[in-house]
This record gives sequence, C-alpha cells and structure tokens, in this order.
Amino acid sequence: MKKIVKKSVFYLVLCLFTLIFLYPILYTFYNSIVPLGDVGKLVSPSRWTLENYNILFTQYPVIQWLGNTIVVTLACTVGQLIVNTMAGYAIARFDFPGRKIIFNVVLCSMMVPFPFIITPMYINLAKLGLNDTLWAMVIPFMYNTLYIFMARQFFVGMPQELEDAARVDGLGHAGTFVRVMLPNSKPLITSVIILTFTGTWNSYLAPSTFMVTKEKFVLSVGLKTVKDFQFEKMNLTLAGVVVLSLPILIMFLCLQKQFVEGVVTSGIKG
Amino acid sequence: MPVCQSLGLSFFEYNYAMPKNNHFVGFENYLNLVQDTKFHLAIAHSLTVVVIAVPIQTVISLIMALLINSKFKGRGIFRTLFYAPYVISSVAVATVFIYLFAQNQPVTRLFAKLFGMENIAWSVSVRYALPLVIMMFIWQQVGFYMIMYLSGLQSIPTELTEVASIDGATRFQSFRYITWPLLLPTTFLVVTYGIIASFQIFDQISAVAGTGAIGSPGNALNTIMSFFYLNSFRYGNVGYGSSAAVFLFLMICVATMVQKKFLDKEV
Repeated sequence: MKKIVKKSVFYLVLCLFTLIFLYPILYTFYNSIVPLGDVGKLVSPSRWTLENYNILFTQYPVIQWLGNTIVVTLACTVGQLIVNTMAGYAIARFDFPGRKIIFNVVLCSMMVPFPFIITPMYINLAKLGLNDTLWAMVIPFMYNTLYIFMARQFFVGMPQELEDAARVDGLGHAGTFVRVMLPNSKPLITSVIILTFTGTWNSYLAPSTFMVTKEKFVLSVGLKTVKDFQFEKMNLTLAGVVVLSLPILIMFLCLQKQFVEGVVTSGIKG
Repeated sequence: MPVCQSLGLSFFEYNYAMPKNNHFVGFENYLNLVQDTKFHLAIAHSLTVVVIAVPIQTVISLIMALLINSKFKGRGIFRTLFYAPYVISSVAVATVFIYLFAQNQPVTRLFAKLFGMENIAWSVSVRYALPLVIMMFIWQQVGFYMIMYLSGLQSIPTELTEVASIDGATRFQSFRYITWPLLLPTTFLVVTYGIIASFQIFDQISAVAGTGAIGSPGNALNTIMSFFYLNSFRYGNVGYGSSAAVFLFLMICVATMVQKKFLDKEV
C-alpha cells in the first residue's frame, strides 16, 4: 500500500513537471498554425493553416534575417574552432616567454561578465567603422576564453608520446597540430561547435546593440521587432518564435548526447 | 584590454555623439550613482531576482534530477523535454511567456484562480512584470542545472546508498546524510551560475519592454543590467553606464567569493 502511494506521488510530480514544460511548447506550435479568430480555441485540423508562416516570410525580411543568422553563426563557429583550439594548443604545449601570464589572463577573463565589455566593444567597433555591419557580430566573437581553457585542458591531457611520434615522422608544429592533434580531439571540437552554434544563434544582446538597419538584423532581433509591432497578431508572432527555435530544437534532438556532454564539460571545468 | 577600457570609461564623462566633450571626471560618476534613487531601485530589483530565482531553481532542478535519476522507462524522454527550453533563444521563450500570461489566457486565469492574482496582462503590469521575468527565467534555466545535478548524482557510487538502506536508513535519511553532502560541490556550481546569470538577465527584460524603454513597464524591470544598458546605449551617458557595469561586476565577484567561503566552511 505504502509503495503504491509513493509510486503515485512520484508519477504525479513527474506529470506536473511534464505539463509545465510541455504546455508552453504545444501552445506555441498550435497557435502558430491557426487563423487569428481561432487563437486560444481548439479547432478541427481542417482549419489549420500555414498562412501565418506565409505572411511572415513574404511581408517581413525573414529570409534575409535567417540568412544573416546562418552566415553569422557559421562564421563564428568556424572562427571559434580555429582560434580556440590553436590558442589552447599553444598554451598547452609551447614553451614561450609569458606563457604563464597569458594563461592567467585567460583564466581571469573567464570571470568577466559579457555586459561589462560590451561598451568598449561597441566603441572599438565604431572606431573601426564596423558598426551596423555583419562583421560586428562576428569579429569580436571569434574567440572565447572559456573554450581556450577547455582546449588547453584537453591538449594537456593528451599523451606526449603522440606528439613525439609525429615529430619523429617529420611533422612540424603545424603538421602535428592539424594531422595528429585535431583528428584526436573530437569531443572537444563537438563541444565547441555546439556551444558556439547555439550561443550565436540565440544571442540577442550584442546584435540588438550593434545593428541598426532592419535588413541586417539577425532572426532574434528581427522577430522581436515583429512581436513589438504586431503584438495583437499572436499567431503571427508565435510562428516567428517557431522559425527562431525549430532549427536549434531539431539540432538538439539529433545531437542530444553531445549537447549534454558539452554542458557537463563546460559546466564542471568552468 | 576591454576590461581596462571599461573601467577607465567609468571615470569619464563620455558621449558617442559629442566626442569633444569627453573628459576625465574622477569618481564623479560613482558619487552620482550612489545618490541616484533609480539606481537604488535597480539594485533592489536585481537582488530580488537573485534571492527569489536562485533558491527556487536550485531546489526544482535538484528535484527534477532526483526524479530522472530513479530508474523508470522513458526517463531519457523526460530529460530531453526538461532540457529543451535551455537550448532555445531566450527572446523566443520570453515572447511565449508574455502571451501565456496575457489577459484571459488559460494560464493567467489559472493563476488568478489559484493565487488570487488579477486577470490582466502580466507584461504591462508594474506589479507582475518582475515575477513574470523570474518565471520565464527559471523555466528556461532549470533544465541546465538539472543536467549538472544529474552528472553530480551519477558520480556518487550506488553502493553507498545501498549500504545505508541495508542499515535501515530511510530514503530521506540517506539523502540527507549521503547524497546531499556529496552533492555540495555541484550545488556550489549551480548557485554560483544562478547568481551570475540572474544578475545579467537582459533578453527577457528587453522582450517584455517591447517598444518602450528597457526596464518598462514603469520602472518595474529596472535592474542593474537594464540601468547600465539604458544609460550607455540609449541616453548616451557611457561613463555613467560603465560605472554601473563596474558595480555589476563587483556584485558578481562578491557573491561568488562569499559563496566559496561559505562552502569551504561547510565541507
């Protein structure tokens, strides 16, 4: 008897949580596919429509925003991958003057919150004449000290023999890095890719600060303006939310294991 | 480099539009900041968010991790579901929550019935805007902390709890005396992350404000973060904004250090 009570409490709590997490998601999807008059009512599937998405894509520069987001996200991801792995490798394996200082700077700057540096970033970008260009969303975000640290820890943990063997086979520093180290650091690379990709795709603070021209917005900024100006058209706005979230959700569902591992490594080491 | 620049800016009167007038003012920005009643309000709001959001999300994420950690069919699906909000853009989550808590929506009516709240749009209410932001923030973050707790739980050897149950310990006792102490380092991480993140909430505040000034409705969402942003990027008062940002940074540092001290004593 006691066991049954315990079990039912367990499932009750589980169901409650499931409801809390599932309801907003279903609410969003459902209301994005019904006409405005049917918002908030349950109607038969025959009245479901993709009209909201059609309006969104034809009356707003959503395709352009989507394109900007993809370009910025890919550029940042590739940049982060190159810069962070190389920096991490250099700090881990090269003996150069000031290495300790650089490593300490990396450690300290991991603690600095992003809002603290956004103002100087804005001023420097303005000085370079890059404000309101897509570059503004890429160049400052091509490195991340947390990932440099992760890369450094990863490369320190790699056996020295691997590198010595590469040296014996006649590879230089660059050759060792590209041909031996990188192919052996898949967990590191996937973590950095996933964290950067989602981080950049979802970023809002920097893009909303640096960009002025509507056509150069990324999705998160653009769709927020749609929400602000078309607030009564809830179905349209929620269609925008789906457009913004679905790619990341699909990616998450496909790469769940890697996502979770990325969190664990960055969380525990950070 | 940008860190020093930001620190330096806080000692200047600095304006993008009129670079000629930029000059060194020493501690004037800080003196003004200390006397600014709007900034006092901002500190109060930021602390409210931290004090409410962090304990709640820590407890909820621990409960969720304990649920998922017990063996039952389909736990992977639940883990995925609970973690999913964390990967979505916070602007998207904020938008959904603004609609969920609009007037006459099912959720608003439920809250009105259960807790006696008014059936109005929360996002434009001075009284309810802050709770709304806290709720969407928690909803989005708990999955992340749940994963951290899960990995903490999985590092605890099952033999320990098994031995305890053979010795006649109840579930609660074995949690209180075995699991909880072993989870302390994870709790430290979760709380620290929570504090850092809640001090920096911005996307949600910006989404709730809509076309209004950041911090709207009224001054309800005037946190240190939005105060800094408003001064630096809307009023063009960069030096003043930067001194608020320095303050934000210091708050985060202090919170982290106090936490660490406290934990060192416990362990």
